[in-house]
Amino acid sequence: MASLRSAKARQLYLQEIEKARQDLRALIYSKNCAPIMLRLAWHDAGTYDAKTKTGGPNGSIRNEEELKHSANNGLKIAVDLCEEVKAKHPKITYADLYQLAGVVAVEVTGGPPIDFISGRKDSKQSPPEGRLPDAKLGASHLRDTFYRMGLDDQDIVALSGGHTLGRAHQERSGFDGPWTKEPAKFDNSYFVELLKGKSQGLLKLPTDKALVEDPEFHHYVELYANDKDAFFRDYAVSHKKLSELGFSPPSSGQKVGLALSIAAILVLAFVWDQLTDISPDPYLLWKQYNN
Amino acid sequence: MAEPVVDAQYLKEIEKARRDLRALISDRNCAPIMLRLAWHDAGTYNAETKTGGATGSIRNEHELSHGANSGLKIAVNFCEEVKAKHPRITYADLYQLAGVVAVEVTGGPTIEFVPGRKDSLESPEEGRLPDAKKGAPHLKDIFYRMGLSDKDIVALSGAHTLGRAHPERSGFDGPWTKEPLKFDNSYFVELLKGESEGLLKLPTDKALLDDPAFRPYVELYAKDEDAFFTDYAASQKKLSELGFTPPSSSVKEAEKTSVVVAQSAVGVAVAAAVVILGYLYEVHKRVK
Repeated sequence: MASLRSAKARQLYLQEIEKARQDLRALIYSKNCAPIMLRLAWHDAGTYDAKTKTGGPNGSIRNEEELKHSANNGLKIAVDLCEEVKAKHPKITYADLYQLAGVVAVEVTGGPPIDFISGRKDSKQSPPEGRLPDAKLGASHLRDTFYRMGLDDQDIVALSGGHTLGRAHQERSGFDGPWTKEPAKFDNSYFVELLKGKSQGLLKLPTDKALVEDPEFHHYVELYANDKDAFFRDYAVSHKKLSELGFSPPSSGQKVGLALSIAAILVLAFVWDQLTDISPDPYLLWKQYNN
Repeated sequence: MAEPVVDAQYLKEIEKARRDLRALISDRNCAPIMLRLAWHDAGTYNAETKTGGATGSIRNEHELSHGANSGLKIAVNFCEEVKAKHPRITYADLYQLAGVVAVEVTGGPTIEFVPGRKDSLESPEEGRLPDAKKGAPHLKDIFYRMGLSDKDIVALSGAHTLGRAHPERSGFDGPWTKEPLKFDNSYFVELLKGESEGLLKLPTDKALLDDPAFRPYVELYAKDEDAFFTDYAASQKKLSELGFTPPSSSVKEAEKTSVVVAQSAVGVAVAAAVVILGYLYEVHKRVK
């Protein structure tokens, strides 16, 4: 019976998530804040350390202490915006809310749909400063940072495509301007611009340039610049991975299927048992066969 | 014009167009006018003569110059950007898809979208869309002519949760709700409040309160946003399919069926395996 109750609780939670999804769409649309919401989701998740299993998408970014990390400059805006949605759906964890906001930000700006599974737990423990990438560094730093999370080269390039949205701000990172001509539109133009080299008025961080200079990364940059569908497909996979670092999604659909199958098998076995009273005894058949 | 062939390729184009519409609508902040475009293309339907409806005819200069369509050229031009990238999609499908996306992106319900509408260049005569200065009998004339009901009239009016009226377009001015970029049930809440500071109430909006067939729905939707979302999604789908018979043998149906068949086959195979194993076990037991 406890499992029935928890199944019901899960149903209700999923309903709250869908309503929060709608509220996030409305919020992001009316406040035009898709880029900063995506950055919030990324900066909550990107602190993960696969070895120590610390950090990751656990809502800890809302702690004053973590918001003060210089990598998180400006993110209080996004945290405050999410509070409006949290207030209407208090049962949803901050960890789920921030990742859902990231998913909606990509969707609403024309990006691929990203599979979202809820159930992350909140944590008040913030990881130490320094786990997120430093824009001034290069390829080996990117690998150190992302491999530590448990991600790979393809993830690094695909996720960098998130720079298709938004811009850097002087007072936040010290860098300035958008990466693409349409910073409110999610597409593969980040990679197209990267391959062009210098672009009038568009930003290229040292870490962006590293993707072109490093031979492994370069291969993916070319793929995504030439094939928007491939970028969308790989981005959706990498974004989902990032949003689930350190999180084991409950596979509810599979559990129900398994339970039903077992029940069906038991019923069939019972029916067979009853039928063998009327039908030939297997032992007699066996004896006959062996004689 | 011929009906589009809704094969797997067409469905893929629809999904790409859906994403491009999301980007466009977010970037240009034009959800309200896109919804109005979809409604004004579909709302010309006459269920008796089977003329008008969601046929893309609204893009004709002639129809755009109808008084009711003042300002809609802007939305037609926005949609051209998406049509240029996905030329196979009919205008009729594109405009209705834009309406669906406009509601979704502003926090409204997900509306089911079935593609396959064919384009027409024949525009209906002026006067088929409602006149905002009139009342309940006029609303009933107009919407019953389309084949819609009292519930549809009230639910669809809830779309005034988005956007505003413009003096240079309709002669009326201002938004109906405090958050005109957010799709919710506040249109009904404001309606029941009566006079609201700075918020618009058209004569046709007020008619929903005065008519006993309409009022119960206004009260329901003001109290229960979920009920509004459910009914709204059903009514907009109906509206978007006026004059359109969704193709029965669509690829989606075939996909669904094959999934069910595959799952059943697996189920049968598992059950058979267990029965056989059970049988062998029994035999084995008795032999011992």
